Amino acid sequence: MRHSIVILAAFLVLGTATVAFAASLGPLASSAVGTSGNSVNPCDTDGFTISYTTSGGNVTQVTIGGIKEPNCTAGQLSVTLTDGSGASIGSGGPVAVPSMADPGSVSVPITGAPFAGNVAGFRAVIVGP
Amino acid sequence: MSRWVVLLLVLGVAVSGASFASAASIGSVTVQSVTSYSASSTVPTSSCSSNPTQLATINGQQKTKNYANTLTITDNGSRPSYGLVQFSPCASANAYVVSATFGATIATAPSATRTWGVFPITSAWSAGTVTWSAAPTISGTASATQTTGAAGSTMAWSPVAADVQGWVNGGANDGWAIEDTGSTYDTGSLTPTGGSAPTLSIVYYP
Repeated sequence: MRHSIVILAAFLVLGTATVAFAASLGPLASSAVGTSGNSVNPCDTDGFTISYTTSGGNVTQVTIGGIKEPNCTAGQLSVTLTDGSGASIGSGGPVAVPSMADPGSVSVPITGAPFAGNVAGFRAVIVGP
Repeated sequence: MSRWVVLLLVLGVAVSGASFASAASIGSVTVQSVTSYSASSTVPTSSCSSNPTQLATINGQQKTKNYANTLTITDNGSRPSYGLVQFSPCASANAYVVSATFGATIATAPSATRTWGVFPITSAWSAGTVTWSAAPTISGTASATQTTGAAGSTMAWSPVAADVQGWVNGGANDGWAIEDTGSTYDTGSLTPTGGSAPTLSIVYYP
């Protein structure tokens, strides 16, 4: 009788722990990580460079450089330009990262055409490969 | 009693099994690689400088005489002389002009400190033919003013970005007239050519 209760308790504890573990896997969804600014299993660990193409003082395209290859090949690159408060003022992508020499660069057209003088930072995200 | 124990035992096994199954199914979700990088960054400006495409003086005391390639500024009441200067902006067409400065070196300083202004010229002129009697029209409002210094010193008129922006955008570009804004006699000149020739410096976003 006592052995049965112990076994029963053990199963219940084990089950609860398993459910808790399963629940803890939820936040690993890639979209949540991407927008939080953190990297998961990154294809590039040393950051990117950026250069700008402007027309009439507005940013129409950026080129993200320093992309680690072939690690990032086939990933999807998106870029967000931010103002001094960190708010988005323009974005572009996703653009597929092609196979290229290391380090690679990819041009991304920017929608919103923000005024060049308002750009204070950027965020580049590669999802995949 | 033992039946209840067996029932609870079976229930416990079922819950544990379902939990393991749930965990296993979540474990099959592929965690995709995500590389995220943020940094401060500003768009760099471009800059350039150019010399005049033409310049001349118009002299109210010599109304029909042409003074190409000189820049003499005289305040003489009703018969002054103005320096005329025109640039072709070096910034790319439709660029956004962040700042612009018209610079010139004093060749002959006035006897006392004067204020010289740059006034937009609003009709066409040619350095080889322009005279006081055949002068272009000139705005009555200065775009910028600057006080004179000693001979060899540099005058810098700024801001003149609004004028230059108009030129870069394809608007009429007839240059500036440099005039003494005072009302008493004095005269001076700017170095018109060579290494100290006037310059138009522009900082811009292409």
